[in-house]
Amino acid sequence: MQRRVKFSCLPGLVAAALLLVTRAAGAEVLFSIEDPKGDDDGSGALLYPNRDDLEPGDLDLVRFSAEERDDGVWFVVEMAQPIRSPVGRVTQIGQTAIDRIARNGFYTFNVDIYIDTDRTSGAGETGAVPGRGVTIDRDFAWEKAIVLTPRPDTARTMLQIYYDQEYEAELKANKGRTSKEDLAAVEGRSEQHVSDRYFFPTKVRVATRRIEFQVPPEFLGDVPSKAWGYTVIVTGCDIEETGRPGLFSPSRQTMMTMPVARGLQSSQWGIRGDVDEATPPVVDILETDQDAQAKVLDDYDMVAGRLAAVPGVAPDGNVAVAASGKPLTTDQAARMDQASRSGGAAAGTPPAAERRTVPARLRTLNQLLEDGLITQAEYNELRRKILAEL
Amino acid sequence: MKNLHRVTLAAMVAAALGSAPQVSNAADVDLKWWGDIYMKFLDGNRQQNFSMSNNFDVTPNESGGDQGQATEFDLTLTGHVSKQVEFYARIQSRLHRGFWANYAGYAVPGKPNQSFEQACTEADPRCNQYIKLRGARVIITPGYDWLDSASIGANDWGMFDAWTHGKTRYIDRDNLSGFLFQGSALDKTLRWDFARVSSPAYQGAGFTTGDLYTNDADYVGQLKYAPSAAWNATLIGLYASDRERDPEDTNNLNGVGEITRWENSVVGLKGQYSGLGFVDLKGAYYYSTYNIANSVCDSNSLESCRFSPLPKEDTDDGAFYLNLDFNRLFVDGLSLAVQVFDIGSDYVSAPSARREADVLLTEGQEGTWQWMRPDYNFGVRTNPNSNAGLGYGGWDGEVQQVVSGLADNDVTDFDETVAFSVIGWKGVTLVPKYQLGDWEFSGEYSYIDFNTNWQACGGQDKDVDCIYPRMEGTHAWGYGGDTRSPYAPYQDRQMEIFALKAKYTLDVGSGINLMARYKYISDEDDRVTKSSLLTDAYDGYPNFGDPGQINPDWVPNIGLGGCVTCDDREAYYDTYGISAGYQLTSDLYATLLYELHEVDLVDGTVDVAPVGMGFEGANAYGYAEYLTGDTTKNRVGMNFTYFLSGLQVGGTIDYFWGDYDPVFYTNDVDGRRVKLSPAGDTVATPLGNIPVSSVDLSQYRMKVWLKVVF
Repeated sequence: MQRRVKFSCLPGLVAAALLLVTRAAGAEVLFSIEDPKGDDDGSGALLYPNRDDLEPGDLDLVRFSAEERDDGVWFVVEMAQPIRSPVGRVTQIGQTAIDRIARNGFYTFNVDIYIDTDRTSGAGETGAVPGRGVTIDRDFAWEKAIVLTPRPDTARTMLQIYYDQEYEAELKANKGRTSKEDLAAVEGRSEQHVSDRYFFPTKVRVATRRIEFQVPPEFLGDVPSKAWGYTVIVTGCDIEETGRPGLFSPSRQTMMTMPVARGLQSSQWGIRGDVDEATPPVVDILETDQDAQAKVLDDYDMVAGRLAAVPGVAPDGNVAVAASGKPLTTDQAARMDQASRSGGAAAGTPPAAERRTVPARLRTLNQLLEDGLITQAEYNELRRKILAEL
Repeated sequence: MKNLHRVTLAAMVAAALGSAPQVSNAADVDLKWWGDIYMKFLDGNRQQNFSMSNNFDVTPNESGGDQGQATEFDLTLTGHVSKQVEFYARIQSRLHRGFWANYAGYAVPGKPNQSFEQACTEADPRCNQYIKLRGARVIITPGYDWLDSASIGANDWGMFDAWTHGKTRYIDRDNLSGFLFQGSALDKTLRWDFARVSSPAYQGAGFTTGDLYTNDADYVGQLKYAPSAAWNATLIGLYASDRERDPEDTNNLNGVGEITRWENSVVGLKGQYSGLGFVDLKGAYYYSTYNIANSVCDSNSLESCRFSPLPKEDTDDGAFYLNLDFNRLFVDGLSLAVQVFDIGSDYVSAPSARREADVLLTEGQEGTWQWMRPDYNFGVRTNPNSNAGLGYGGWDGEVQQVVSGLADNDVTDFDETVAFSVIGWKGVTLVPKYQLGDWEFSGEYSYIDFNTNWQACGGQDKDVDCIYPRMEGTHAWGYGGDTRSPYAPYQDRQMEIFALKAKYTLDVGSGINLMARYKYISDEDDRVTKSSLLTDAYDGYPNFGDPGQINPDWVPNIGLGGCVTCDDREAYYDTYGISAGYQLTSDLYATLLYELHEVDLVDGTVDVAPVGMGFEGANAYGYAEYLTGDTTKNRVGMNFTYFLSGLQVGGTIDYFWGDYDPVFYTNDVDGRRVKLSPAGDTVATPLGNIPVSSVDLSQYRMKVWLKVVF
């Protein structure tokens, strides 16, 4: 019992011990991109919710980087404020300790990284994870997506369910019914698609403002390149999806995205009464231009069904090439820009009312394909969508 | 999202109004609803079926439940009446004692003659799966430049801070209503929040806000100024008061005057600066004043406020913390968080956070030692006090520190974090983290001193000079203490915490997440340091000399023969833990863990009694017990979570085993503490006649939950 040990010298010992340990594992910084501070208000309209564990700066992305280390590729996201720990927090439903379901040391945000590895405009996917309320700019159409989320296993299952339903609906539309074999095939297809396209990091480390996560090279196919495009989206995590309808129900996947609603409440991003209700729930995007974020996230048209298209950043500064393989000219880029903003119509063609007719939109689509501005796959997909409105 | 058909909705409105459908109004309402079903399954070998939570004895007949299955149903409705007006309402059937075995409240079989509480009939709302309005509010966004949002009605009040007006804890969420106004100016660089929150009764002196309570309220406001991303500052203020009818005003003709029963003001200034890159700074200073009418806690009222969240006389004091977060220190992968803090012994904020908040960086003590009535000496099942609550295992995990006289652990489950009042704490905490390859290391060193270190509460007579609520009287020491009173009449304490944690992901399959930790706590309290005060400290044992009331062998040695070291308390805690977590399937994650907890405790000699406690200090009563000696507990546990397309299941299963080996001390002729070699089977102490033999202990417990959110 005579153990009146004093640990007054321990801080020094600990510091000395840590200093003696040199970093055995080498790390090569592949690229590092800074994002303006203080832009964690999405389109400029988002207000932080009424919570003591979410304050301005918490979801403010300030740096995104990738490192190649001896043990693989690590992405690093840095926020403006220290990352909140789930320890000691309980859920809204029941009193489940949040650190039991969010085991990786964070619980307030999701970070999506959509990687455009071929830099061909329109080649790849432009859809974001369900619930994010945005799409990815076609100049950064992606091949691989990394979804950093507090409940990766649950999120992966939810995404597979989403694709199950998409593919099943597609099958039903074609065949008018589905068989047991069809459903098994659908499940296999969605599982394969999620495995090929998405990665949900589980090897995650949090230290003050930094969160880093490992991504296996076999998923990316190569070491992250400066020539790739990276679209990074930060959303609030509604860890139980209690904020608004959306929830875990398979028919309304929101992938734990904290929604937007008028007024200030605890489970959603607030907006004032004079702000459009369809404001995307995206809090921050990786965008080096201080003013661009608000313009991007405010550029949507709910009547036309056009979501805000979030562009990425290519560390080497190069722009995407057209489907033809040639660099996009300024005129082409402008036409594409105009086309996407007007719901498919090209600039200088019929007035708004006519632009949205099916024949006009099909003509525009043909023109875009002929010009090599969209891929055949994009053409087919868009044509199917337009005709489906008949 | 459910958009009800307009006719259906109109019919609902019409039915409510008792009139024919009025489609025109109802059609404009965009009604949405969602909800959840939550089920909880408890099992344990304490065989207690008083409630569906591990509870203290505050709520009658709801203590210590570790058995049963029950269902909670929650339904939330919202809708826009117009672009500017939205409503929200939540109803819930609550668990409490709504066991499946109750037949939905149609009484417990075979208990027709039991008391109301025990029979658990349909007349008892805690048993009959009653539906309760948990909260309703109206949210207004008028579009005024100066006002972003107004909310009238229920809220969880999480927009302020844990030091002033804290977020309402889980079980009370949406129970507190009030007015909330929020706005911004200067291009959103200046934001403000102002609220009037109706005071809950438990918040007042003696856990009551008096006879006239319905208009008692807390007023809280804050101004947040963030001119750049590099720095921000917040000014926060609180005023809480408890008004009563003026007993001097007996004339009803011109209304009745008011007096103040108690009032509490807090002003705080918080700031952050992150412009230096390598280090982020964050700090706050709060100052509180508290006034209470003399009549509230006089000797004839409320037991002189022994059980109270507030002091019984006027106080004022300050509190501050300063955090430095070094994001990269010397080498890549090394970060260091530092916190310096000082919380005054007289700092009071009546509505500060009671739990689900952690105001200090330190991980503090271990939750497993916080249950104050383990009843190791006798294990008497019929003792209601020692039978309540969590039993041998205590709470899982670490503790949460709150600056509140209302630190609240009622209606909690063992897998939750226990809340612990840290009023009076001051010190420094260092938390380094280092990442090296696949390894992640973290540590903690904390040195904690106490502003509550005093003799006779800073005076000469504990019965006169102690103005602080002592609750159960066992003081927040940790093992054998309670969690809600940070005050002891005699204290000279210091604490050091040292912790190391390592994590490693073993590259097998989808990766096995390994974790190992060690923690050492030294908690020493010399208590009475002046021999002249020993008599004051240990006098007052009730009914002394009345053989019908008290065993004279149990009466403490008043004065301890002048031995000031005889009541020294020394507690040394060691904790070792390892765990392995694995994603067994895409839907199922499980963690296996083993922990070894040891306490080496000397809690004075066999002549020392809990200061200020009488018969309640006896082990037989259950508030306090003799714990000097070596206590060991092993824990094997499993946590798991499972997700299947809308169904979530999770749980914790624990098994504890260990022993308590009592040790006894007395004072020698020179007034020094020496070890006592017991001559018989028991040793007489003020806590009872304590068996000298070692006690084997074990406990099994399980909690599994299920959620379906729709």
